[in-house]
Amino acid sequence: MKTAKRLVSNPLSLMGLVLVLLFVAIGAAAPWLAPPWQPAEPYRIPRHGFRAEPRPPNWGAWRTFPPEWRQRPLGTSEGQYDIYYGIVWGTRTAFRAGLVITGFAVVIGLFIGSLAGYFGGWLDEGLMRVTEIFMAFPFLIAAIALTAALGRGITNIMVALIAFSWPGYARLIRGDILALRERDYVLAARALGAPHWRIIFRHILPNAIFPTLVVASMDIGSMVLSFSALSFLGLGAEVGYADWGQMISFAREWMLGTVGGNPLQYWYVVVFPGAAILFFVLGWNLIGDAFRDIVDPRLRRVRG
Amino acid sequence: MFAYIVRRLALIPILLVGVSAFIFGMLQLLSPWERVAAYVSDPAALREGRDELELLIKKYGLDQPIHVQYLEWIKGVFQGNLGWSEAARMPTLQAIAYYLPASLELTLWAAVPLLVIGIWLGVMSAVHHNRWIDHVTRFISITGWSFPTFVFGLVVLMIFYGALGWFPPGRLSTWASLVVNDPGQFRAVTGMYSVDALLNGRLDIWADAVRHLVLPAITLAYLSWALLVRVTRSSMLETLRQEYVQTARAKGLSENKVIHRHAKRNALIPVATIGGMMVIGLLNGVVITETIFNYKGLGYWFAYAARQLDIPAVLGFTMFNGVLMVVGNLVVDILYAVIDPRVRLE
Repeated sequence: MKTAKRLVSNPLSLMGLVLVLLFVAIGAAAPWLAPPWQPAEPYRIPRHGFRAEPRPPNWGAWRTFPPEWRQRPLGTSEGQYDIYYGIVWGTRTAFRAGLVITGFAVVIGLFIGSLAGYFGGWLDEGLMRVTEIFMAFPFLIAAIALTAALGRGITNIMVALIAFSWPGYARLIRGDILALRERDYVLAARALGAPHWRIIFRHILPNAIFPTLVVASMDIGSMVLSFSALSFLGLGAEVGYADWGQMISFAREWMLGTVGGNPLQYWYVVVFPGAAILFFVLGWNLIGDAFRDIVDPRLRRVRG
Repeated sequence: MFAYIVRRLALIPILLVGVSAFIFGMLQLLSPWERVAAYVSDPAALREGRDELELLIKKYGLDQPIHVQYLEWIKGVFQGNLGWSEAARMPTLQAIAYYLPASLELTLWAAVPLLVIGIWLGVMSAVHHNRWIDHVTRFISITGWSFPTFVFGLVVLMIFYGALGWFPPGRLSTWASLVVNDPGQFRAVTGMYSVDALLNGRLDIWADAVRHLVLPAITLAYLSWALLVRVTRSSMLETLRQEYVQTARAKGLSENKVIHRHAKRNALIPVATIGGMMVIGLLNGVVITETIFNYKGLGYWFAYAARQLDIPAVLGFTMFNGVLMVVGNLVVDILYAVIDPRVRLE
């Protein structure tokens, strides 16, 4: 409760909270904001024809709310993909990516980290060497390599990002468990004959899990960033899937305008999807920042 | 300290074998038919039917069991053979050597101003706490941390090239690359155009190379810069509250001396701990930055290779980065011990 109050009282974290809630609302209301053209495949962005050249936003569409995507409220991207529709449904893709990647990474990290920290010895030694191998490479490059190996696609990007992000959580939880392992209440549980899994899940984890969860919440934003970066590089879903990173890659050919034309004439192709990613990530980062200040009182003093 | 360095260096091959085995195992999810696509140089020559593909599969040993293929590959690595990169149309090791100077040049142009300006701004922001310079710095560092590199790069390109025409993408203008690729007019020494141009006394080429470097260098530095400013600022704020800083002021030292001689030195110690993260940030950033600006370096080649399923290139470059990062982290650790006498490496 106290944490929630702090989040609301600081203007920066309040802004983060508002941003994230706004995206939650957009994602939840997607079928109402942009009714799918093919209900079986809502993530497929509808096209307004097949011309390559993007078409500008039709501001008149905003006189009604929600605007009708058929009237091109935010214009169309390369190949006439509707930008408004893509941003609305791309919100769901972003949430799915951020939550699934961090969720799986935390669960795997908790499992491996608990094993290593609780049992110690050669198991600990072996598992920590494995995490070192995974962490020995620049995160994004390793994830690109693995995605290339698995084949493109959203699921494979997520698998690759999970594969290289769990070791961080494993090491974190291991350290916290090491500090708790010899506490009296753990020894007492062991003396009572409690099985190992019970000691880990009922006694140790509830006391050790909090820092890991805080770090995980701070990571959601940067996970979505990495996810969109891989999509941008062309390793994501098939063309036309509602995914912000891919929508920005559509913009690459149009950034400089046409020969002799206004160089900024296609600004909407990059600005709208770019703003969606920026605000989404900013929202999570602001919340994460505030979380860290609340959890780590040493930093609060520094803020001044 | 010497024993520590040796031990760390000894860990490198173990790490590399581990990760190469991991990625190599993942590659086996593809069928030999899919993997062989990376070796076909001229699809038109394959019209005879599938026999030719079978030959290629045999030639590269793609139908062998995993461990045989892996051992074959590792054996090659020790002989300096990382396979043929179809994306670069040359052997992978040669491709790394070919693209390295471009990326190194870009990284240096990004890293040096990054460190100088970043630390200066962080210190200034802490000294002028809650004044305008502090507010501006904090705003930049918070947004910088959330700004996707690829969006930042595209927007910067749109404004400074599309609208203003100041800084073009690529590495050199056409006229300049004609000069540079002509051995009669231009002697290539390092492969870094901004250095070679000075060695050849060609200021016009130097200016052209720098003009092409400005935007990618800023884009590459931006993210790490946000982190650096943030950490320097909070560390400096904490140091300024220490009692020895008060003492220095009470002695009657000038404010300049207090800040730069007494406070800054200690404040920079925690900053060194993010050195490793900044190395990672630069290595990662090169891939996206070079792709956006059509800057033909290692990152550009790697992203292209990943899209083309050019497996030898992807594996080779990833290995190469592993070595860079292990060495980079080692250097950071040693630097840390050098600037903070309380740290003893064991």
